[in-house]
Amino acid sequence: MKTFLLELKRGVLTTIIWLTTITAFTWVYFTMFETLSSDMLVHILADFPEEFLKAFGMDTDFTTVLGYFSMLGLYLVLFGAIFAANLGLHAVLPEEMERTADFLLTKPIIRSKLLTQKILADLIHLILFATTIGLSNYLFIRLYTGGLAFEIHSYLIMIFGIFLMEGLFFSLGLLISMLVKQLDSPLSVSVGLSVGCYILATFNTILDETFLGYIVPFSYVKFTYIAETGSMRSYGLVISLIVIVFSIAASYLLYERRNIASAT
Amino acid sequence: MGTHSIEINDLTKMYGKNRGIDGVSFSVEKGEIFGFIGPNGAGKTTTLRILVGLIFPTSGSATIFGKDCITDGSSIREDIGYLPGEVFFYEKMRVGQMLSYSASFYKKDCTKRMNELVERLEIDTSRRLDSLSFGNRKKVGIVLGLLHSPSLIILDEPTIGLDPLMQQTFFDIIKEEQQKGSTVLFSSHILSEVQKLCDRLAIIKEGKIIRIDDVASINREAYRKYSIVCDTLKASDFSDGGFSEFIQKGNEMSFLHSGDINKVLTLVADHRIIDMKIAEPTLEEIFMNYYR
Repeated sequence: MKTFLLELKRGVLTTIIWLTTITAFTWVYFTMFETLSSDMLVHILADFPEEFLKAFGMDTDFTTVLGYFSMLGLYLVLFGAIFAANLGLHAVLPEEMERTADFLLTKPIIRSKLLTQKILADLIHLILFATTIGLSNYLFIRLYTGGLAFEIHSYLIMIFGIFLMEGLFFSLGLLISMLVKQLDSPLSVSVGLSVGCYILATFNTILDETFLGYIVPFSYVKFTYIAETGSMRSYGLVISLIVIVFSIAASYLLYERRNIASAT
Repeated sequence: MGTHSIEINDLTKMYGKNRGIDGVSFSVEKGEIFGFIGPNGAGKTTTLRILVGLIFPTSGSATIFGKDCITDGSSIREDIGYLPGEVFFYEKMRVGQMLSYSASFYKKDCTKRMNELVERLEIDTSRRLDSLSFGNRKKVGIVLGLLHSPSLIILDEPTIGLDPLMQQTFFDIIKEEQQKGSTVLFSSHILSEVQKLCDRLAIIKEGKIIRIDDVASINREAYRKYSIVCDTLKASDFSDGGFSEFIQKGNEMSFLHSGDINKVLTLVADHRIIDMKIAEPTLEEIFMNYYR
């Protein structure tokens, strides 16, 4: 229990910084709703090549609330993924690199229970992240879109999509950390992984839904698709859950027998 | 339960293709202070880290209190105190927080013993851990290792960074723990420490145990240390078996010889000896023989 609380506290500052930055960013984006959703922008964008628009998530209907949110959503999913992958990578690795694992793991603990405490603490951070994004954006929508109607159900699916991607990238980050002996800069791995997937997802959109759609996680929760159909791609949900369960299970098995390198 | 606290059986650990330890076997009896000696990189730390559950052996087994180190690791560690060569902390914590965090893992109440040790080692518990000097960190490490009154204490090069006074206090504490019935496994590359403290010892070299014996009988071995000053003797006069550690500086030479003293005396009898000393070698010098 103490490890859980310690773990929870450890990441608090990082999470607050992430959320403050992202909330500020979304606030600025929504203050421009009136300008960007006008006919003027539609005319300007009409002159752009379609591929360009797709690449930056601008192939959306800016005059509707969820269409407008979809472009932002592309980046929210990306930030969520980086944040989560980073948490996953940091679950056990820093403890080993700062050698406090020598202290912790020689106590009468069972490693799987320890890992559970760490994962639960991180899960709270992930939930906090998705919830804050969900609530703040809802607030901004209410404040800046002039009372335009939108499908709240679809909005909630979008927020769930962010959470699902967080879960996926967290579990991948955790698994990667179990496969390496040490990692000098975890952030570059989490950014690399997330941005890599983002670029592949962009290709997929430009190429009009290829097989990549099945492989690249961000395609599972494409916001423009959710805005149109009111649901996420069901195969995406299934694949995500399978990957999450597999990665977490594999991480437990690997951690159970993990050799903790010594200082000398 | 047998009389062994630790039983290690043919324990091998490979790091990929690199050797960690190779077929290590020894046992530590209940209530003794057992020394584990070897040069750096011989495999002392590897062995100890397997015992405390930080790494897992490639083959072989180790039991503590009759229970398997791997499958029963967590219940065994309830009763093990481990003090690594270099202690690492959660640097942002205060000493007191770290100690009570450590105590929180054990079923028994550790407060009394913890306070005793803190007082004895003169530790300021309100200091932040990252502001401590090396010696003070070490002291906190000692308290962390002992606060739950473990019945097996595993020490990995514990004296590094302790000044002679602290070292004495530390040895006193360890001896008291032994008198209370604890078993101690003590690794070191400094023999005089082991000589002072231990009942028995195992010598490890390049991952293999090369000798297990009483400290007393190793001390008693019939090695003698000869120092001779003589102008006419040459190194080649001492080339047959039985001579070791031969050092020559000008007309001064010194060596170890085990066996009949008369053999040496006959050899030097025809020469004009300027000075000659025969002494018991230190354990270090005996020990060097195993390293070659």
